[in-house]
Amino acid sequence: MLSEERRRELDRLLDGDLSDEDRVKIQASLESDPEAIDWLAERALLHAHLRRTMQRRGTETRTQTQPPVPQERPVVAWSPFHSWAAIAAALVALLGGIFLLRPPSDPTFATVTQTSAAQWEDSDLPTAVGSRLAPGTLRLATGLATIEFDSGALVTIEAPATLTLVDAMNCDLMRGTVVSDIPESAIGFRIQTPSADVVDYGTRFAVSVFEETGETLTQVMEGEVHVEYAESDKIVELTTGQRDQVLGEAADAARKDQEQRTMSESSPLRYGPEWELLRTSKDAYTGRVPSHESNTLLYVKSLRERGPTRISWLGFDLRQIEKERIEEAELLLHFAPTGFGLASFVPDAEFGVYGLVGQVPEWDESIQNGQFPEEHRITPLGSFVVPHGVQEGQFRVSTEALAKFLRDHPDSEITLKVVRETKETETGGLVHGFASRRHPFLPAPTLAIRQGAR
Amino acid sequence: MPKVTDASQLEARESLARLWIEAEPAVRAFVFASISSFADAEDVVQKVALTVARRFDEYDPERSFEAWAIWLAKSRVIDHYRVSGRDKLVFSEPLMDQFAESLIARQSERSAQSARAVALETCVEKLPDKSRQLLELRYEDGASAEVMAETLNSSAGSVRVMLHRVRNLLAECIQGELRKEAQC
Repeated sequence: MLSEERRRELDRLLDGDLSDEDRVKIQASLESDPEAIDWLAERALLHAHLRRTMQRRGTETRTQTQPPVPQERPVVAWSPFHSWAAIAAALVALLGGIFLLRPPSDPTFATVTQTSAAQWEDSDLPTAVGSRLAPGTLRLATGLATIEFDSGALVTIEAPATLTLVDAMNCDLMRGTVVSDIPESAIGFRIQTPSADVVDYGTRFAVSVFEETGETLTQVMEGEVHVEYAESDKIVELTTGQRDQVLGEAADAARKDQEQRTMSESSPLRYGPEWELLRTSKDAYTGRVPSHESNTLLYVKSLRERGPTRISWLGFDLRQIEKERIEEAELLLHFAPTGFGLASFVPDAEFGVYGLVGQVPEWDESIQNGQFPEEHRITPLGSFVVPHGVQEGQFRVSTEALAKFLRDHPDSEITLKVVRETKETETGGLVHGFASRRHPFLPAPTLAIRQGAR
Repeated sequence: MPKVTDASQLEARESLARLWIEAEPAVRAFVFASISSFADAEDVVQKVALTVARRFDEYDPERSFEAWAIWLAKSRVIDHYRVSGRDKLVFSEPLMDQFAESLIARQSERSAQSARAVALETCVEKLPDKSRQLLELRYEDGASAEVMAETLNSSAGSVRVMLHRVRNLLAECIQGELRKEAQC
């Protein structure tokens, strides 16, 4: 019979609550004490069960006292039996099978849990928040939408995207990006794309499909994912921080400029004859990243660690304007998707517009290959917010500070600086972009100035 | 990847699912006893599940599935010790083997693991609030004796004794519930 003291010691061993010295002593004593080992085995079973039971209870208590927080990890229904079955089912699914727990009478297996600035195309499924989803296809034109599968998998769709739901463990991504958060209960969750199958082993990861080429890009934020190539038996294992690109059939053909397919009707400028519209005389952005660049869009981005890294610079020539007559001024920017980064990782994004004052350094568009001259002073002129999930549209700043800046500036040439004040919440967040003066169809950055009577 | 499967594959999958349901509690107990951080232990259990699924064709059905799964778990635990270097090595390798044998020997006793889990639920429910709070701190938050003591306005020593007693109570209560069940 084990002494009470011995048992207490063994509990502390399980709790990791012993000094190194004591632990070594107990280990040595255990090897010749089968009774203690048996007791410990029984206790370890209880210990491991308790962890699961208390965690599940905790989840239930939280959901009873507060409304569910949309961004939180999904609440997985776990009765003890249920949870084993879920793990077993996940194992089955892992081998390419189907999810076992789907009730046979109810064809639905997922729920729309959240949307942000979402506009749907002709989806053959309901799209309102709270809708239950059966097999079918979702087409998201703009914004973000989050789907929670009954397996526990949480999938955020970033427009423009087409996603076909197969069952609680499988979906097909035809184009666009999904960001997935997969709990233990949904290990083996599979996203099929035209060029690869991406199988998740308990992680957060993102998959993007480029429609024109069928390329599949997989990025793992946390955990482990396998990418199974459709054209060969190749399987690539990815872990935290890694990415993989599977080229599609048309990969040899140059990837079309992504801006082409997101052509949006810009609203006509409604300004009367008292308004003067000025396009940028020069514009550029600094902080270029090779192969992540554009000649037609001006990029703006703010990193999680370092803050703004890509910054846009706008030059306007006010020679035609009689400054003293300026009564009102607006800056108009036309945003368009850049195709880089994940919208899910950037919340409502505030953009700041600043004017350069004092001795403004000379600059031209070649700054895009380097840095903006360091010696300069700025003054804030206004800001605007691009909502979470929104990547295109017209945004404007219309403040007295802007009008005053234009009136008071001693030179005919002025420079504005546009930065994204809001940082990404995780590495790999969306790069915002707006049309430059070189954009083929979107208006260049424009200053609209209303002048008073002479 | 083709998803076409023939009947034998389907059968293999079903048997894997059934075997894993039976073996998982022992695997979990083995890993939780070897790695004291809950989060790390849960990660390792997950990796064991994957290894079991991937290597299922290597399993010899003539032999104990549980023993095979725990054998795989042992390598994962050792990997974990090696890679992390931060978790204290709770068990030496020979001790792990002894411990695994003890778990496997209990297989018949645990034929109804789901019944035990249900009994545990009932028993946790019956506990006084303070005991339950202690379990919440330990098992939900993964709190140390020192942290629990601070939260409960007590000393680390008495928290350790309390936790030990609550576990004893639960173990007894589970036995009682299972006997009741058997009589019904």
